[in-house]
Parts: sequence; C-alpha cells; structure tokens
Amino acid sequence: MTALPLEPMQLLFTTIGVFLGIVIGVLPGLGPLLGIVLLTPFAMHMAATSGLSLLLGVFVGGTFGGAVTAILLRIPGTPIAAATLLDGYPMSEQGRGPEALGLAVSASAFGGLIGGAWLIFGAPMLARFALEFGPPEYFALAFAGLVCIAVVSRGSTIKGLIVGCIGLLLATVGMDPFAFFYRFTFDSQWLIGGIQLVPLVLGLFAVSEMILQAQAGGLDRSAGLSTVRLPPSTILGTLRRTGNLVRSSTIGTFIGALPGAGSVIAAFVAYAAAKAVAREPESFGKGNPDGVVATESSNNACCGGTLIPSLALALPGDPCSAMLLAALLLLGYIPGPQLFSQSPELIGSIFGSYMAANVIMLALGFLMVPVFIWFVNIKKVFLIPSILVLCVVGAYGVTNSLMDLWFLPIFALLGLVLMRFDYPLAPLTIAPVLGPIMEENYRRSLVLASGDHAVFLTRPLATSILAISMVVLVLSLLPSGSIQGMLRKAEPR
Amino acid sequence: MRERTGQLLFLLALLAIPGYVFFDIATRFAAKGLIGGRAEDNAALFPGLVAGLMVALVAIQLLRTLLAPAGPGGGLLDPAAIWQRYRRAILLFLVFLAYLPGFRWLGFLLATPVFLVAAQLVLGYRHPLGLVLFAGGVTGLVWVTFAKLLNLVLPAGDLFG
Repeated sequence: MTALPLEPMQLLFTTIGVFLGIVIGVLPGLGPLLGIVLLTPFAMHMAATSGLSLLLGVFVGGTFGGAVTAILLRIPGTPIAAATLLDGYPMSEQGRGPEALGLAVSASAFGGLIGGAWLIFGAPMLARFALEFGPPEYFALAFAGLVCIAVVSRGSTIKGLIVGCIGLLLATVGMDPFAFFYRFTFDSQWLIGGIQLVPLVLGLFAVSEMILQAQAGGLDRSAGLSTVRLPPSTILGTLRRTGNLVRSSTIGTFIGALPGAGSVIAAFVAYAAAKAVAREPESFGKGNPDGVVATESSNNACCGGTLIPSLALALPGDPCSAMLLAALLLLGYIPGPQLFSQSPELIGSIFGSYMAANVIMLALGFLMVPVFIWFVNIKKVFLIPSILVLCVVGAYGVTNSLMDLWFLPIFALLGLVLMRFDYPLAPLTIAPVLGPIMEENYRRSLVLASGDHAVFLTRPLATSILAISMVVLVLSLLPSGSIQGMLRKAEPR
Repeated sequence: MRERTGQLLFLLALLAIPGYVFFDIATRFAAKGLIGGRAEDNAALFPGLVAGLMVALVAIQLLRTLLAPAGPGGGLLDPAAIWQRYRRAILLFLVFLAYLPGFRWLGFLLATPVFLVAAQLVLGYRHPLGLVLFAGGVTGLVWVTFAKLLNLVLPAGDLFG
C-alpha cells in the first residue's frame, strides 16, 4: 500500500488548483480540460509533486464548477453538469438554490473521496497485474481504448473513428520510434519534433470555443447573479443519503475507468439509477435533492475512476486524463505500471493530492461561493480576449517555440469544421496519446513474432481484448439497439 | 448549397490526409528503403495501416451520406452568407491570426495590449478608458505571472533585436 505524503507546498498548490478549477468550471464553455491545459505551463516550472497537485486540483475543482451555473442559471458551465440542472435548477426556482448548491458541493466532495478510495486500492493492483502484459496486450488495450472513445463520443461511430485515425496519423509526425527517420514533416524543421499536445488541445477546444462564444452574442452582458450563502446542514443532508451517494459514486468510478465513457455519461447513468430505485420517481426533474446528489457524486467519482487506467496502464480514458498523462511526461515521468515500482513517492503524492483536493473543494465550495459568483458575472467581452492571450502564452510556455503557436489557429479551424459537420473532438485529443503506444507495441509484437500477425490471436488476453473491442464496434454500428442508442436512453429528457 | 453536399465535400477533403501519407510513403520512405522488411525497419507499416483504415472509413461515410435523404438547402458555402452570419467570429479569428506574428516581431509586451484592444473592439466594447485599463492590466498580470513568477522568457520582439 502506497503512503499518502502531503507536503505543505503540495497542499498549497492543490488548494490553488481547486480554486482555479472551480473558477474555470463556472465560466460557461470552459471546463476542467481547458483548466488543465492552461495550467500545464505553470506545472512544468514547479517540482513534479507540486505541479501535479495543481493539475489534479484543477481536475477536481473544474469537474464540480459547472454545477454552480447549472443550478443557479440553468446553464451548465461544463457538459459534465448537464444532468445536475435537471433537479438543481427546479430547486433553485423553488427558492432552494443555496440548498441545491450545498448538496452539489458536498456530494461532489464525498463522491470524489469514494472514487479516490477506489483509485488508491485499484490502481496499484491493476499496475501489478499489468506488469505481466507484453506488447500485444498493450497494443490491444490501446486499440480498445480508441474504439471505446469513438463509440461513445457524440455523433456516429464512423465519424468518431475517422477523427481517431486523424489523431493517430498526427501522432506519427516527427521521428520514427525505431528508425532514425523523420515522417510526414513536409521537409520542414518545424515538424521534426512532432505535433505537441498542448497547442493541439488549446486550439481544438479553447480557441475554437472562444471564437464560437464571440459569435453567440450577449458579450457585454453580465449574468447578474446575486450572491448566496450555502447552509452547512446540507453536508449532513448529503451524508443522510448514504445509499444514493455510495451507489452513484461507485457507478461514476467504474464508468470513469472505462475508456471514453467519462463524467457526462456517469452522471446520467447514476441519475437514471437513482430514479429507478426511488420511492417517488415522479419527483425527479421537479427539484428532488437525490437527483443533485446522484449526478454530482458520480461525476466527481468519475475523476478517480479515470485515473485508474491512466496511471496503471498509461491509457487515458478521457481528454482530461490524456492531458494529465502528457503533463506527467513533460515533468519527466513515464506513466504506466513501472511508475508504481520506480516512483512510489510520486504515486503516493498523486493519491494524496487527489484526496486532499476533494476535501479542499468542500471547504472552498462553502466558504468562497461569493467569489465564484463574481467570476460568473464577468462579461465575455473581457473574458474571451484574456483567454486567447493565455492560450498563446500557455502554448509558448510549454513548447518554447514561436512556430508551434501556429498550431493554435490550425487546430481551432479544424475543431470548428469538425463541430460544424458533427464530428466528435475527444478522439482527436486521445489518439495522439494512444498513437505512440499503439505503434510501438504493434511493431514490437511483430518483431517478437518474426512478423507473424497471428501473435495477436494466440495470446489469450490480447485476443480477448481485441475480440471484445470488435464486438463493441459492431454493436455500435448496428442501426438499432446500438450502444449509443442505449446511452441516449439513459439520458433523461 | 445543401447540407449533404457540404458533408460530402468535407469527406473528400479529409482524403487529403491519407493521400499525403501514401504520397510520402511512396516517395520519401521508398527512397530510404523504409517500406517492407522487418517491423522495426518498416516506418511505413503503422501509418500506412491507419491511412488505409481512414480511407475505408471515409468511403463508408461517403456512402452513408449519399444514401441518406437530402437535407434542406442553405448558404453553407456562400461567402456573403457566411460573412453576414459569422462576421464577428471571423474578425476575431483574423485579429488572433495577426497576434501570432505580432507576438514574434513586436514581442509580448507590445503585441498583447494591441491584440487585446483590437479583440475588444471586434467584440463591440467601446469605452476608451476601459480598453486601455483592461489591455494594460491583463498584459501586466500575464507578464508578471509568466515572466517573473515562472521565469519564462517571453519574446521581446525580433524587430528590437
């Protein structure tokens, strides 16, 4: 069992991270992913433990932050909070906004702690098991991850897979992993180092989102939200709903551990489960506190769940964990099962920071709501240019290359076009992380098997993972009863 | 132009990506002898597979789009309609594009306030004092955070040596 050492600096940066995460989460259109990307340049200039504490704090705080505007304004700050408004906003309309917010903060914190407990026990076990994996198993896992992400992403599976292919091809730009040869660089020095993930994600998500928001209107208008005080009794109110809390958090953790599923699906599935077992299911959607507890506990527990395969197998489950893995690499650590034996102190500090972030979120959520509401009221006319400047400086801070800044508008345009034609963006973020893992292990597997592709069919675990992936893929392509259809049915209207 | 035509054109444009991959493999890779042979020497193996898969997927999507009922007509690719509808977004994007070479040639401290003022004007903000205070404040805050706290050397501007 790994110890959970927490130094004062880590605690400080976790607190800063949670605060900034909530601030970014409450701003409509932004979310934990953008928070992590924007703060990665800061994290790179710190000690690894402090930097990761900052990013984990942003991840946890940002996941909760969207609930504030979902409850008070019926605008989910992030898609993660979309399920929260189903009962949160009706509670607000009934004059119970502070109660709903109090339940959301405490359910998020307790859900996150339950997800964290699963992470602390599950990740080392999975890492020990993964030490037995060979290249074929790693290739199969990365392939499965990409298939799952394409299947559960918004839009059709084929479109998700096309975007995944673009991401995989982007990952091949630059040096070949085996031979000394530069691939797909257009004979330009600029592309020799490959395409960096930070400018890619900033362009794809942040710059494109700011351009969209500029067009949306209401730029010089404040949300006009008045401040509220959260009743501390809502902490007990959440704890009294133990069954709902544990069930929803467990659902959130397990869905989070599946590649691609993510917090949005976790929140809707937990909501559907809470409604299914409720004595008065008809009260859901009309301001039932159980709805808020179910969605908020599951989406924050999902953070712990998604970190399990990310840390133990280096397989990110969603764009946020892909960015956290990228940050880990930038800080000089190679994620994967060996990290648990080679750097147990770092793993311990990640676990410690994650748990601390949830406790800190509970405190900040109750004490600093007026500050977060002040941020909600900032006009977009100030916000959009500031975020664009942060994107440029943030991308420059990570790559130290003025040429790499051109990736920002290139990927912003690509993101806008993909969104215009209803293609999902998530596979494009995760594929560049999975791509090198896939290629290296694919070619290594063939080297081990003297070029025989049967190696993927003769190893039971690799074969099983590939077979399951193919079944999931075929099911998703069926016109009816598809996985996406089932997921949509889980989402209450 | 109809929605379906736009989707089809976009799919055809996407084929340029695997097209370039195959072109590079057939020319540069072949010249270096990095096609075929052992897996560790075959730099074209994985990208070639992915590019092939992408062509197949695009072909399937093309078929699906062709077989789907045509949507309503609209000014999807009509430049006048696009300008009318997305003027502010296009202008902001152009200002952002101009900021990038400005960041290099003028440096952070000069290019950033100019960009902030221009972006706010595009977004419809017109208070002169507010523009100056906001541009100066954000530039100063970002400079102190990155250059002073994180010791990141922000560009001073190629024009100034």
